[in-house]
Amino acid sequence: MAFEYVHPTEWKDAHRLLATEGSVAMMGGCDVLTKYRSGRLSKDLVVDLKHLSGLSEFEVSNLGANIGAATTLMKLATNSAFASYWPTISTVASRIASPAIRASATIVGNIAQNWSVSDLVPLLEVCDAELVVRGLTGDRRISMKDYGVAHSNSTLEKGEIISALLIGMPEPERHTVYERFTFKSGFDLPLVSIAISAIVRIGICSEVRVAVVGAHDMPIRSVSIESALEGRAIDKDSIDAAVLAMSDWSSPTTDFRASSQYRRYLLTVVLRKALIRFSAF
Amino acid sequence: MSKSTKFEIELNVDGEVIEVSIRSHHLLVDVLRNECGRVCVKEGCESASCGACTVLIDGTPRLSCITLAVDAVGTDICTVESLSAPAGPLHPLQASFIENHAIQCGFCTPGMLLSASALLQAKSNPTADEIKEAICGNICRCTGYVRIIQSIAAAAKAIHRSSP
Repeated sequence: MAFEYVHPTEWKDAHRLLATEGSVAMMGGCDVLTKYRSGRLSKDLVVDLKHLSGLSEFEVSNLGANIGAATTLMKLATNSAFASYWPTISTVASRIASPAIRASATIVGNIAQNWSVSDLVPLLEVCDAELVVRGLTGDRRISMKDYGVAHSNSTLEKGEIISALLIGMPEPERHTVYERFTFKSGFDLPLVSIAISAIVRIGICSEVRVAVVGAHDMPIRSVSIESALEGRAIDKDSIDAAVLAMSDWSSPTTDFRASSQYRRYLLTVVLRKALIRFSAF
Repeated sequence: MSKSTKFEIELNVDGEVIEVSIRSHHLLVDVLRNECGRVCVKEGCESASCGACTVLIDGTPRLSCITLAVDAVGTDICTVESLSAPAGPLHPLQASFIENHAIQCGFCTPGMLLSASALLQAKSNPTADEIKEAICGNICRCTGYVRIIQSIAAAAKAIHRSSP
Protein backbone atom coordinates (compact mmCIF):
# COMPACT_ATOMS: atom_id res chain seq x y z
CA MET A 1 0.00 0.00 0.00
CA ALA A 2 1.30 3.42 -0.92
CA PHE A 3 0.85 6.63 0.99
CA GLU A 4 0.96 10.29 0.11
CA TYR A 5 3.60 12.29 1.94
CA VAL A 6 3.31 15.97 2.79
CA HIS A 7 5.50 18.20 4.90
CA PRO A 8 3.61 21.39 5.73
CA THR A 9 5.48 24.45 6.96
CA GLU A 10 2.37 26.32 8.13
CA TRP A 11 0.55 25.27 11.29
CA LYS A 12 -2.90 25.84 9.79
CA ASP A 13 -2.05 23.47 6.94
CA ALA A 14 -0.80 20.86 9.39
CA HIS A 15 -4.01 21.04 11.45
CA ARG A 16 -6.12 20.79 8.30
CA LEU A 17 -4.16 17.84 6.96
CA LEU A 18 -4.27 15.98 10.26
CA ALA A 19 -8.02 16.49 10.42
CA THR A 20 -8.26 14.54 7.15
CA GLU A 21 -9.54 10.99 7.43
CA GLY A 22 -6.69 8.50 6.98
CA SER A 23 -3.89 10.87 7.98
CA VAL A 24 -1.12 10.21 10.46
CA ALA A 25 1.49 12.55 11.95
CA MET A 26 5.16 11.74 11.49
CA MET A 27 8.21 13.24 13.11
CA GLY A 28 11.38 11.11 13.01
CA GLY A 29 9.59 8.33 11.12
CA CYS A 30 10.69 5.45 13.34
CA ASP A 31 7.18 4.43 14.27
CA VAL A 32 5.26 5.34 11.08
CA LEU A 33 7.76 3.99 8.56
CA THR A 34 8.36 0.80 10.51
CA LYS A 35 4.61 0.19 10.47
CA TYR A 36 4.55 0.94 6.75
CA ARG A 37 7.41 -1.42 6.00
CA SER A 38 5.78 -4.25 7.87
CA GLY A 39 2.41 -3.66 6.20
CA ARG A 40 0.74 -2.41 9.39
CA LEU A 41 0.22 1.23 8.38
CA SER A 42 -3.47 1.69 7.72
CA LYS A 43 -3.17 5.40 6.82
CA ASP A 44 -2.71 6.80 3.33
CA LEU A 45 -1.58 10.34 4.19
CA VAL A 46 1.63 10.84 6.15
CA VAL A 47 1.97 14.39 7.49
CA ASP A 48 5.59 15.16 8.33
CA LEU A 49 5.57 17.82 11.05
CA LYS A 50 9.26 18.48 11.56
CA HIS A 51 9.32 21.47 9.18
CA LEU A 52 6.78 23.46 11.22
CA SER A 53 8.13 26.65 12.73
CA GLY A 54 9.45 26.35 16.27
CA LEU A 55 9.62 22.59 16.39
CA SER A 56 13.38 22.48 16.03
CA GLU A 57 14.00 24.90 18.90
CA PHE A 58 15.90 23.55 21.88
CA GLU A 59 16.74 25.97 24.62
CA VAL A 60 18.06 25.57 28.13
CA SER A 61 17.57 28.68 30.26
CA ASN A 62 17.22 29.51 33.94
CA LEU A 63 13.53 28.62 33.59
CA GLY A 64 14.24 25.12 32.39
CA ALA A 65 14.40 23.26 29.10
CA ASN A 66 12.15 24.01 26.15
CA ILE A 67 12.54 21.07 23.81
CA GLY A 68 10.92 21.48 20.41
CA ALA A 69 9.03 18.43 19.21
CA ALA A 70 11.46 17.81 16.34
CA THR A 71 14.46 17.54 18.68
CA THR A 72 16.11 14.20 18.14
CA LEU A 73 17.31 11.94 20.91
CA MET A 74 20.84 12.45 19.61
CA LYS A 75 20.56 16.23 19.85
CA LEU A 76 19.18 15.96 23.36
CA ALA A 77 21.82 13.48 24.50
CA THR A 78 24.73 15.54 23.17
CA ASN A 79 23.67 18.91 24.61
CA SER A 80 26.08 19.68 27.45
CA ALA A 81 23.93 22.43 29.00
CA PHE A 82 21.00 20.02 29.21
CA ALA A 83 23.23 17.29 30.66
CA SER A 84 24.45 19.62 33.40
CA TYR A 85 20.91 20.07 34.80
CA TRP A 86 19.33 16.74 33.86
CA PRO A 87 22.21 14.25 33.81
CA THR A 88 19.99 11.21 34.28
CA ILE A 89 17.70 12.06 31.36
CA SER A 90 20.73 12.87 29.19
CA THR A 91 22.41 9.56 30.02
CA VAL A 92 19.27 7.54 29.44
CA ALA A 93 18.58 9.34 26.13
CA SER A 94 22.12 8.52 25.03
CA ARG A 95 21.47 4.79 25.52
CA ILE A 96 18.05 4.39 23.93
CA ALA A 97 18.02 2.09 20.90
CA SER A 98 21.06 2.61 18.66
CA PRO A 99 23.02 5.61 17.32
CA ALA A 100 21.28 5.34 13.93
CA ILE A 101 17.84 5.39 15.52
CA ARG A 102 18.73 8.19 17.93
CA ALA A 103 19.73 10.30 14.93
CA SER A 104 16.19 10.02 13.55
CA ALA A 105 13.97 9.48 16.57
CA THR A 106 12.59 12.50 18.36
CA ILE A 107 11.99 12.73 22.08
CA VAL A 108 8.40 13.82 21.54
CA GLY A 109 7.82 11.03 19.02
CA ASN A 110 9.11 8.65 21.66
CA ILE A 111 6.46 9.98 24.02
CA ALA A 112 3.67 10.34 21.47
CA GLN A 113 3.77 6.74 20.33
CA ASN A 114 2.44 6.06 23.81
CA TRP A 115 3.85 2.61 24.35
CA SER A 116 3.36 0.68 27.53
CA VAL A 117 7.14 0.55 27.98
CA SER A 118 9.47 3.50 27.71
CA ASP A 119 12.71 4.70 29.21
CA LEU A 120 11.99 8.40 28.94
CA VAL A 121 8.37 8.61 30.03
CA PRO A 122 8.89 7.57 33.68
CA LEU A 123 11.85 9.95 33.94
CA LEU A 124 9.85 12.82 32.50
CA GLU A 125 7.00 12.01 34.86
CA VAL A 126 9.24 12.35 37.92
CA CYS A 127 10.73 15.55 36.50
CA ASP A 128 7.21 17.02 36.31
CA ALA A 129 7.62 17.64 32.58
CA GLU A 130 4.78 19.04 30.50
CA LEU A 131 3.82 18.76 26.86
CA VAL A 132 2.80 21.89 24.98
CA VAL A 133 -0.04 20.98 22.66
CA ARG A 134 -1.19 23.22 19.85
CA GLY A 135 -4.75 22.95 18.58
CA LEU A 136 -6.85 25.10 16.26
CA THR A 137 -7.99 27.21 19.21
CA GLY A 138 -4.58 27.72 20.80
CA ASP A 139 -2.03 26.07 23.06
CA ARG A 140 -2.61 24.02 26.17
CA ARG A 141 -0.33 22.05 28.45
CA ILE A 142 -0.60 18.42 29.45
CA SER A 143 1.38 17.05 32.37
CA MET A 144 3.43 14.02 31.39
CA LYS A 145 1.74 12.03 34.16
CA ASP A 146 -1.65 12.65 32.54
CA TYR A 147 -0.68 12.08 28.89
CA GLY A 148 -0.85 8.32 28.42
CA VAL A 149 -4.23 6.79 29.10
CA ALA A 150 -3.65 3.34 27.64
CA HIS A 151 -1.48 1.77 24.97
CA SER A 152 -1.73 4.01 21.85
CA ASN A 153 -4.43 6.07 23.58
CA SER A 154 -3.55 9.49 24.94
CA THR A 155 -5.29 12.66 26.09
CA LEU A 156 -4.31 14.30 22.81
CA GLU A 157 -7.42 15.42 20.93
CA LYS A 158 -8.06 15.07 17.21
CA GLY A 159 -6.06 17.63 15.22
CA GLU A 160 -3.84 18.60 18.16
CA ILE A 161 -0.09 18.59 17.67
CA ILE A 162 2.55 18.32 20.40
CA SER A 163 4.81 21.29 19.80
CA ALA A 164 7.27 21.05 22.68
CA LEU A 165 8.29 19.38 25.89
CA LEU A 166 8.94 21.61 28.89
CA ILE A 167 11.03 20.58 31.87
CA GLY A 168 11.18 23.04 34.73
CA MET A 169 14.53 23.79 36.35
CA PRO A 170 15.09 21.22 39.10
CA GLU A 171 15.06 22.51 42.67
CA PRO A 172 18.42 22.62 44.47
CA GLU A 173 19.19 19.30 46.12
CA ARG A 174 16.76 17.37 43.91
CA HIS A 175 18.29 14.11 42.75
CA THR A 176 17.05 11.55 40.26
CA VAL A 177 17.98 7.95 39.56
CA TYR A 178 16.75 5.54 36.93
CA GLU A 179 17.05 1.78 37.04
CA ARG A 180 15.90 -0.64 34.36
CA PHE A 181 15.90 -4.33 33.61
CA THR A 182 16.29 -5.61 30.07
CA PHE A 183 17.02 -9.05 28.69
CA LYS A 184 20.03 -7.72 26.78
CA SER A 185 22.28 -4.82 27.59
CA GLY A 186 22.00 -2.90 24.33
CA PHE A 187 19.08 -1.87 22.13
CA ASP A 188 16.23 -3.31 24.13
CA LEU A 189 13.09 -1.96 25.72
CA PRO A 190 12.88 -2.27 29.49
CA LEU A 191 10.86 -5.12 30.90
CA VAL A 192 10.47 -3.06 34.04
CA SER A 193 12.03 0.23 35.06
CA ILE A 194 11.80 2.73 37.89
CA ALA A 195 12.55 6.45 38.09
CA ILE A 196 12.93 8.08 41.50
CA SER A 197 13.30 11.78 42.13
CA ALA A 198 13.33 13.58 45.48
CA ILE A 199 14.78 16.56 47.27
CA VAL A 200 17.34 15.34 49.82
CA ARG A 201 18.20 17.65 52.73
CA ILE A 202 20.29 16.38 55.62
CA GLY A 203 19.60 12.86 54.46
CA ILE A 204 15.79 13.23 54.49
CA CYS A 205 13.71 12.88 51.31
CA SER A 206 10.87 15.21 50.46
CA GLU A 207 8.66 15.78 47.44
CA VAL A 208 9.33 12.22 46.41
CA ARG A 209 8.23 11.14 42.95
CA VAL A 210 8.36 7.55 41.77
CA ALA A 211 7.29 6.40 38.30
CA VAL A 212 7.23 2.78 37.25
CA VAL A 213 7.20 0.90 33.96
CA GLY A 214 5.82 -2.63 34.00
CA ALA A 215 3.64 -2.41 37.11
CA HIS A 216 0.48 -1.45 35.24
CA ASP A 217 -0.58 -1.00 31.60
CA MET A 218 1.29 2.28 31.20
CA PRO A 219 4.24 4.05 32.86
CA ILE A 220 2.65 5.54 35.97
CA ARG A 221 3.46 7.41 39.18
CA SER A 222 2.98 5.40 42.36
CA VAL A 223 1.52 7.45 45.20
CA SER A 224 1.84 4.55 47.62
CA ILE A 225 5.58 4.12 47.05
CA GLU A 226 6.08 7.88 47.19
CA SER A 227 4.22 7.99 50.54
CA ALA A 228 6.38 5.16 51.88
CA LEU A 229 9.49 7.27 51.26
CA GLU A 230 8.25 10.81 51.96
CA GLY A 231 9.96 12.48 54.93
CA ARG A 232 12.29 9.55 55.52
CA ALA A 233 15.95 8.74 55.03
CA ILE A 234 16.71 6.02 52.51
CA ASP A 235 17.71 3.19 54.80
CA LYS A 236 16.85 -0.46 55.29
CA ASP A 237 13.48 0.29 56.91
CA SER A 238 12.29 2.76 54.29
CA ILE A 239 13.52 0.53 51.44
CA ASP A 240 11.60 -2.41 52.93
CA ALA A 241 8.51 -0.22 53.27
CA ALA A 242 8.79 0.94 49.66
CA VAL A 243 9.28 -2.62 48.42
CA LEU A 244 6.20 -3.74 50.38
CA ALA A 245 4.23 -0.86 48.85
CA MET A 246 5.39 -1.95 45.40
CA SER A 247 4.21 -5.52 46.04
CA ASP A 248 0.77 -4.28 47.08
CA TRP A 249 0.40 -1.68 44.34
CA SER A 250 1.79 -3.40 41.26
CA SER A 251 -0.45 -5.42 39.00
CA PRO A 252 1.68 -6.39 36.01
CA THR A 253 0.39 -8.00 32.89
CA THR A 254 1.44 -11.34 31.43
CA ASP A 255 2.64 -11.30 27.83
CA PHE A 256 5.17 -12.97 25.55
CA ARG A 257 8.07 -11.28 27.35
CA ALA A 258 7.30 -12.29 30.92
CA SER A 259 4.64 -13.47 33.32
CA SER A 260 2.89 -11.19 35.77
CA GLN A 261 4.50 -13.01 38.71
CA TYR A 262 7.98 -12.60 37.24
CA ARG A 263 7.44 -8.89 36.60
CA ARG A 264 6.05 -8.31 40.09
CA TYR A 265 9.10 -9.93 41.69
CA LEU A 266 11.45 -8.11 39.33
CA LEU A 267 9.88 -4.77 40.24
CA THR A 268 10.81 -5.26 43.89
CA VAL A 269 14.40 -6.14 42.93
CA VAL A 270 14.78 -3.15 40.62
CA LEU A 271 13.18 -0.80 43.18
CA ARG A 272 15.59 -2.00 45.85
CA LYS A 273 18.54 -1.43 43.49
CA ALA A 274 17.29 2.04 42.58
CA LEU A 275 16.83 3.02 46.23
CA ILE A 276 20.27 1.73 47.19
CA ARG A 277 21.71 3.93 44.45
CA PHE A 278 19.57 6.83 45.62
CA SER A 279 20.81 6.44 49.20
CA ALA A 280 24.20 7.75 48.04
CA PHE A 281 22.75 11.30 47.87
CA MET B 1 -4.53 4.58 -2.80
CA SER B 2 -2.36 2.59 -5.17
CA LYS B 3 0.08 5.26 -6.29
CA SER B 4 1.42 8.37 -4.64
CA THR B 5 2.92 11.50 -6.14
CA LYS B 6 5.85 10.99 -8.45
CA PHE B 7 9.02 13.05 -7.99
CA GLU B 8 12.14 13.57 -10.02
CA ILE B 9 14.91 14.02 -7.48
CA GLU B 10 18.67 14.13 -7.29
CA LEU B 11 20.48 12.14 -4.64
CA ASN B 12 24.12 12.63 -3.77
CA VAL B 13 25.32 9.07 -3.24
CA ASP B 14 28.98 8.41 -2.52
CA GLY B 15 29.82 11.74 -4.14
CA GLU B 16 27.88 10.92 -7.29
CA VAL B 17 24.76 12.94 -8.14
CA ILE B 18 22.12 10.50 -9.35
CA GLU B 19 18.78 11.53 -10.85
CA VAL B 20 15.98 9.19 -9.95
CA SER B 21 12.26 9.05 -10.41
CA ILE B 22 10.50 8.04 -7.22
CA ARG B 23 7.14 8.13 -5.48
CA SER B 24 6.63 9.85 -2.16
CA HIS B 25 6.34 6.63 -0.16
CA HIS B 26 9.56 5.12 -1.49
CA LEU B 27 12.11 4.30 1.16
CA LEU B 28 15.74 5.21 0.77
CA VAL B 29 16.92 1.61 1.05
CA ASP B 30 14.89 0.60 -2.01
CA VAL B 31 15.91 3.64 -4.04
CA LEU B 32 19.59 3.12 -3.25
CA ARG B 33 19.43 -0.54 -4.23
CA ASN B 34 17.05 -0.42 -7.17
CA GLU B 35 17.66 3.01 -8.69
CA CYS B 36 21.20 3.89 -7.63
CA GLY B 37 22.84 0.48 -8.00
CA ARG B 38 23.97 0.36 -4.40
CA VAL B 39 23.11 -3.25 -3.60
CA CYS B 40 25.72 -3.05 -0.87
CA VAL B 41 22.93 -1.53 1.22
CA LYS B 42 21.22 -4.56 2.72
CA GLU B 43 17.81 -4.96 4.23
CA GLY B 44 17.44 -7.61 6.87
CA CYS B 45 14.60 -7.07 9.29
CA GLU B 46 12.28 -4.49 7.71
CA SER B 47 11.62 -3.22 11.22
CA ALA B 48 14.51 -0.87 12.01
CA SER B 49 16.05 -3.50 14.25
CA CYS B 50 19.05 -5.03 12.48
CA GLY B 51 21.15 -2.14 11.14
CA ALA B 52 21.96 -3.89 7.84
CA CYS B 53 20.55 -0.92 5.91
CA THR B 54 22.74 1.63 7.72
CA VAL B 55 24.07 4.46 5.56
CA LEU B 56 25.75 7.69 6.56
CA ILE B 57 23.66 10.79 5.96
CA ASP B 58 25.77 13.90 6.39
CA GLY B 59 28.22 11.75 8.31
CA THR B 60 25.69 10.33 10.78
CA PRO B 61 24.57 6.68 10.75
CA ARG B 62 20.92 6.42 9.73
CA LEU B 63 18.66 3.53 8.87
CA SER B 64 17.68 3.75 5.21
CA CYS B 65 14.69 1.46 5.85
CA ILE B 66 12.99 4.17 7.90
CA THR B 67 14.13 7.12 5.80
CA LEU B 68 12.03 8.40 2.94
CA ALA B 69 14.02 8.97 -0.24
CA VAL B 70 12.46 12.42 -0.66
CA ASP B 71 13.75 13.31 2.79
CA ALA B 72 17.33 12.55 1.73
CA VAL B 73 17.41 15.20 -1.00
CA GLY B 74 20.15 17.74 -0.33
CA THR B 75 22.14 15.45 1.94
CA ASP B 76 25.38 13.56 1.43
CA ILE B 77 24.61 9.85 1.46
CA CYS B 78 27.50 7.47 1.95
CA THR B 79 27.22 3.74 1.45
CA VAL B 80 30.04 1.31 2.12
CA GLU B 81 31.19 1.88 -1.48
CA SER B 82 32.45 5.29 -0.39
CA LEU B 83 35.03 3.79 1.96
CA SER B 84 37.41 2.82 -0.81
CA ALA B 85 37.67 3.07 -4.59
CA PRO B 86 37.35 -0.18 -6.62
CA ALA B 87 40.96 -0.04 -7.78
CA GLY B 88 42.34 1.65 -4.70
CA PRO B 89 43.53 0.32 -1.35
CA LEU B 90 40.95 -0.87 1.13
CA HIS B 91 39.88 1.39 3.96
CA PRO B 92 41.68 0.37 7.17
CA LEU B 93 38.36 -0.86 8.57
CA GLN B 94 37.78 -3.10 5.56
CA ALA B 95 41.34 -4.40 5.73
CA SER B 96 41.01 -5.02 9.44
CA PHE B 97 37.75 -6.94 9.05
CA ILE B 98 39.50 -9.25 6.57
CA GLU B 99 42.66 -9.52 8.65
CA ASN B 100 40.74 -10.38 11.81
CA HIS B 101 38.25 -12.74 10.17
CA ALA B 102 35.31 -10.53 11.11
CA ILE B 103 33.26 -11.51 8.08
CA GLN B 104 31.39 -14.73 7.59
CA CYS B 105 28.23 -14.34 5.49
CA GLY B 106 28.92 -10.62 5.12
CA PHE B 107 25.32 -9.47 5.23
CA CYS B 108 25.84 -7.20 8.25
CA THR B 109 29.28 -6.03 7.13
CA PRO B 110 28.33 -2.87 5.18
CA GLY B 111 26.28 -1.56 8.11
CA MET B 112 28.95 -2.56 10.61
CA LEU B 113 31.64 -0.81 8.61
CA LEU B 114 29.64 2.41 8.31
CA SER B 115 28.72 2.49 12.00
CA ALA B 116 32.37 1.88 12.82
CA SER B 117 33.45 4.54 10.34
CA ALA B 118 31.24 7.14 12.01
CA LEU B 119 32.63 6.11 15.40
CA LEU B 120 36.25 6.51 14.27
CA GLN B 121 35.45 9.91 12.80
CA ALA B 122 34.22 11.00 16.24
CA LYS B 123 36.69 9.07 18.43
CA SER B 124 40.09 8.13 17.14
CA ASN B 125 40.85 5.69 19.94
CA PRO B 126 37.56 4.23 21.16
CA THR B 127 37.29 1.88 24.10
CA ALA B 128 35.70 -1.56 23.72
CA ASP B 129 32.55 -0.23 25.40
CA GLU B 130 32.39 2.68 22.97
CA ILE B 131 32.75 0.27 20.05
CA LYS B 132 29.97 -1.93 21.46
CA GLU B 133 27.74 1.10 21.86
CA ALA B 134 28.46 2.28 18.31
CA ILE B 135 27.48 -1.07 16.77
CA CYS B 136 24.71 -1.97 19.21
CA GLY B 137 22.15 -1.42 16.47
CA ASN B 138 23.96 -3.68 13.98
CA ILE B 139 23.04 -7.29 14.42
CA CYS B 140 25.34 -10.10 13.31
CA ARG B 141 24.00 -13.61 13.30
CA CYS B 142 27.00 -15.65 12.23
CA THR B 143 30.43 -14.09 12.75
CA GLY B 144 29.84 -13.05 16.34
CA TYR B 145 30.81 -9.75 17.80
CA VAL B 146 34.21 -10.45 19.34
CA ARG B 147 36.13 -10.37 16.07
CA ILE B 148 34.16 -7.40 14.81
CA ILE B 149 35.02 -5.41 17.94
CA GLN B 150 38.66 -6.51 17.65
CA SER B 151 38.69 -5.41 14.01
CA ILE B 152 37.38 -1.94 14.78
CA ALA B 153 39.90 -1.48 17.60
CA ALA B 154 42.72 -2.67 15.33
CA ALA B 155 41.60 -0.34 12.54
CA ALA B 156 41.61 2.58 14.95
CA LYS B 157 45.20 1.77 15.86
CA ALA B 158 46.17 1.39 12.19
CA ILE B 159 44.64 4.76 11.32
CA HIS B 160 46.40 6.31 14.30
CA ARG B 161 49.75 4.81 13.24
CA SER B 162 49.39 6.07 9.68
CA SER B 163 48.40 9.60 10.73
CA PRO B 164 51.16 12.17 10.32
